Amino acid sequence: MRNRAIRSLGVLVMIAAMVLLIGGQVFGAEKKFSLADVPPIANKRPIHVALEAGGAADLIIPYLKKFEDHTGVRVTSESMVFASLYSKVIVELIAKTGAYDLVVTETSWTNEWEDFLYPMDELAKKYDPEGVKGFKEYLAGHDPGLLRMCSTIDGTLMGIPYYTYTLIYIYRKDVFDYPLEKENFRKRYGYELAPAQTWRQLHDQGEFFTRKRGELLKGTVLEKDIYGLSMMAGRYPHVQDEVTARLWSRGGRWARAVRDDRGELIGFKITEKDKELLQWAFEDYVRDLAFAPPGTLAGYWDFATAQFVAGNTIIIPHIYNSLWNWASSVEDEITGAKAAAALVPGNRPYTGAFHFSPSIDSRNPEAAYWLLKYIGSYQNQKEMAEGGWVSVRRDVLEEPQYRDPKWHRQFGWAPPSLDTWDEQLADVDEYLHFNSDAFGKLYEMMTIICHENAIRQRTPAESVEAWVRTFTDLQTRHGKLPVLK
Amino acid sequence: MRRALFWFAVVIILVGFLWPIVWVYVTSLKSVADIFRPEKLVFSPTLYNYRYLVTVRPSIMEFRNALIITFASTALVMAVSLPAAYSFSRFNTGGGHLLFITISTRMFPGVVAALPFFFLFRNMGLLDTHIGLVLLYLYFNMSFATFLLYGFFREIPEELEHSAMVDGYSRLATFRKVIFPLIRPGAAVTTIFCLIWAWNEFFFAFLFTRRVARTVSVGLAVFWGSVEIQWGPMAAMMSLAILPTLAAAWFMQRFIIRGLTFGAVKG
Amino acid sequence: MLNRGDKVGVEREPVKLRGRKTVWQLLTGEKYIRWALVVPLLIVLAAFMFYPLFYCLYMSFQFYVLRKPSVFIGMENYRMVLHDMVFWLALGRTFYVLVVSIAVELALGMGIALLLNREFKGQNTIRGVCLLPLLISPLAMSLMWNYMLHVQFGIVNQVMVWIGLDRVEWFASPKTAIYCIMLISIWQWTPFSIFVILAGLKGMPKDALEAANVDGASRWFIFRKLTLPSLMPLIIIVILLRTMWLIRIFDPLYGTTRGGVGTELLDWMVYRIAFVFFDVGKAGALAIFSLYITIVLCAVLFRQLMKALGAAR
Repeated sequence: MRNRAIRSLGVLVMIAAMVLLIGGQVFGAEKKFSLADVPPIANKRPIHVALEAGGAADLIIPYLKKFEDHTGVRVTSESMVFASLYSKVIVELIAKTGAYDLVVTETSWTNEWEDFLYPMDELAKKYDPEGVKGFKEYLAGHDPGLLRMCSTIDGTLMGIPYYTYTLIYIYRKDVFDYPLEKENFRKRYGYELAPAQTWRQLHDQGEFFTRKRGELLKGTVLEKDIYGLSMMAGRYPHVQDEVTARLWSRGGRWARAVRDDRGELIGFKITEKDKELLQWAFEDYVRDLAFAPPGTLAGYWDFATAQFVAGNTIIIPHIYNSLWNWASSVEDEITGAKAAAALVPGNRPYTGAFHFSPSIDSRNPEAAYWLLKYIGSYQNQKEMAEGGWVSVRRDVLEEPQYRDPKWHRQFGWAPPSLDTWDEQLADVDEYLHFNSDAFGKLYEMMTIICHENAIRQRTPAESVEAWVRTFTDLQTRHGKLPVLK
Repeated sequence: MRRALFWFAVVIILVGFLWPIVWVYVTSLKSVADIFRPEKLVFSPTLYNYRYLVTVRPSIMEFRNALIITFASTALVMAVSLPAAYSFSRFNTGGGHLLFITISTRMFPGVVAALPFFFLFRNMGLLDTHIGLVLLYLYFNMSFATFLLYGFFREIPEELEHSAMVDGYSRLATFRKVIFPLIRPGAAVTTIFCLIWAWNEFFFAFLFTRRVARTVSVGLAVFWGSVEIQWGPMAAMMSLAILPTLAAAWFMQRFIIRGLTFGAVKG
Repeated sequence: MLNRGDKVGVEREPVKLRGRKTVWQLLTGEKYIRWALVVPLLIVLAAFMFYPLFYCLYMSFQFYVLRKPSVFIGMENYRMVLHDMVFWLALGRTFYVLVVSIAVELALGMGIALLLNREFKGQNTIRGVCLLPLLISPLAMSLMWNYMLHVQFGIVNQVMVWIGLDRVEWFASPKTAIYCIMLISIWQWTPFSIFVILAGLKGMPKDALEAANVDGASRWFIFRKLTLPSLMPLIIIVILLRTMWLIRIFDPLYGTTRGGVGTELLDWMVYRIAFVFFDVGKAGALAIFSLYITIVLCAVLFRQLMKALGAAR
């Protein structure tokens, strides 16, 4: 009897706990900010938004319209060619035209544009009935690392991320799982074929899968040459992200943030260790290029992904998660193909995001604030993510329902991206990208140096020298903080 | 045999000049997948890319703006350049120096001039207005237009004018009745050049407009994002943007033969 | 309306009688008309030319980068530019592009013009087609060429594979990239040479040619002694204008290499310094320097042109 009573009590407690848990979750979900929570906006002045160009970026346009319909504030948008977005926006911001109420800001530009952007807390204090505290709660669903990237060095949040491009490792699962391939790989390299965790393994895989016409893949004779790795060595920012993934994974820094006793940033320094690691990163990058198809030296993500989709490459070792949708379409193109995503070797790839930031010269910061809050909200990010958007909100991506195979093509990129964010969290504060206020300029030169290393215009050692020189020069000329000896 | 050789050469030239343009049209009809498959010469055409221009990111405004700006700036250029070129050629005003100065305005790197212009235009409220771009294009196209027209005026024998004036015509009447009919083909060629260049200009159009006065050439570049180039819609927009220039070419070939002589040949 | 017209007429009469002229008459009179006609041009020049020029001149003596206050530094910017290897490389490359492009354009232009300078069926259409590249947006074309020359997706490489050649990464190697830039520019601008030269050929004195033919002179002789000299002023014009435009070459780079792979030309460098680095002082110095080089070059050509034109008269 007693036993039974205890058992039923236990069941009751369990049921109660479950009810509480579920109820809490439902309650929590209900509490999440959505468009309906945007209060009436007093300032009806139309707002204008600068957008990045491209089909992926176009997905946001209908949501601007939704906001317009709900609030009665007209929202106009303008897509800009990415190559010149930085220049155009800076000119407008320096000239204080106030033409853009929200500007697209790449996370690494945040510090540089600090003077031109509106701190989010100030806006929340001014316009949000829930105040700064409510705003902080709203941000809980965002990744803290990404939020740090959208902040200045002293931690002032300058915008809300709405789109991310975290590097992930995409590979042909069907090839990796094919018994014969597995066996051959083990014979040749002495360990199991699985997504590469070190750069050494990646190198092996590149070598292993680079095959000539007439050789076998999955037991079938190849009708064309195939290559192990899809890479992006063209003279675009992406080559820099690939080298960075190598550098960061070994604890190297492009330049080290130096802090005083109180933790305040006082300058930057490139240590001997950094130089050594950078040289290794350059060398390793060039080594891996041997397993990339012709065209890599001038190509970038569209080339890299198209090669993968066409079956010309087996692995894209570091590609933006926003390209998962396209990359996984290899399953439609090649019979039996299966795409899967994993972490980039070394777990420290470049993570970037675009965030919208309200311009300090905006004549309707109120509407700008609410639009921002709406775009970054749980409800909206969820809706957009299901439509193919690369969402930035953890609470959306962590939803267990999206682990279901039927969401594979929309959300296959999410688990490795989340893992990457977890792994890198401690390091974000250290990265030069998010600490230098001259980074917009440094980025340009980094790109050039990495590319010229890839095409062997400079040796890795010379590239390191070139970087040290360029960094010292640019940071001194454009940045506020000094380069320390 | 020689005839065959001649036509062979002509065909090669035509293919050379036309191929890229044909390829724009071919690409504009391809689906996303086919764009990355050059080996597929036969493909099923789609209007998807053109629909994109209408539905996803409407481009009608850009065409309208470009038309307004192009025509207005060209009219102004001609109003300024015609009399000036006439003066240069007939009276040698400024002894060649003024003409050289006019031409030299295009020698200054435009990208550097852009910043001061931007601040100036901001203060005058001309950013993102049609007038702003019209003024800029007036300045940019004026130099070449004047130079070209200078050549056309030189071709007209001075004696014609003298005899007209002896007949009792005033300078202005002479200009209207004698010179103008003769300069018309030349003026047409010049006009078309100005139209085309105003239509195609990218850098200033990009920097000085946002939403209201944005032109086609800016719209063309907008398919180039950070994680994607939309070749299809871009080619579709290009193929539409090329249409007016095709019309111009058809119109121009009637004048061009006696056109581009710069007054070096007395026709 | 009629009344008012009459009145003007009536008013004008006495003015003339008194021997004084209205402003209008003064302006259209023989003495001042030459200047009156140039006035609009002068106004536009005055409005647009001086401000950017002086702004750049002023800035070229300042240390002025984005977000930092400007500081007078004298000739430092010029010193920096002159000691910058990148600048000299860009300058040298620009001249290389200049010489090669103009030579190829003139040679092609001359050849095609000679070919087309005859009566044949559909001549107008074919000439019209030859004009097309000149009229198409250079930016659009640079993007299109980028696509066409792509190593995998480009039709050019596809054709090369079909005829049994290897694919070439046109924009990946400093050896080929610069020639691709030239190709784009030459493709676009050869029609200009064609039509200038064609117009010149059409205007050649027929009797001299016929006389030479009657004398039994070889075609090469006629070309060298007759055709070429009379085309000289036109060739100088093409060189002059193309020099001016090629020093400012920008669009073909924008859609392709963006200054990479050993293709950084003068104007792209200026663009980068002004619009990526926002180093306004240094950009000003570069601009002034580049203006100086262009003006000297073009002034020499312009003088030659004026001489040749004078001779042609």
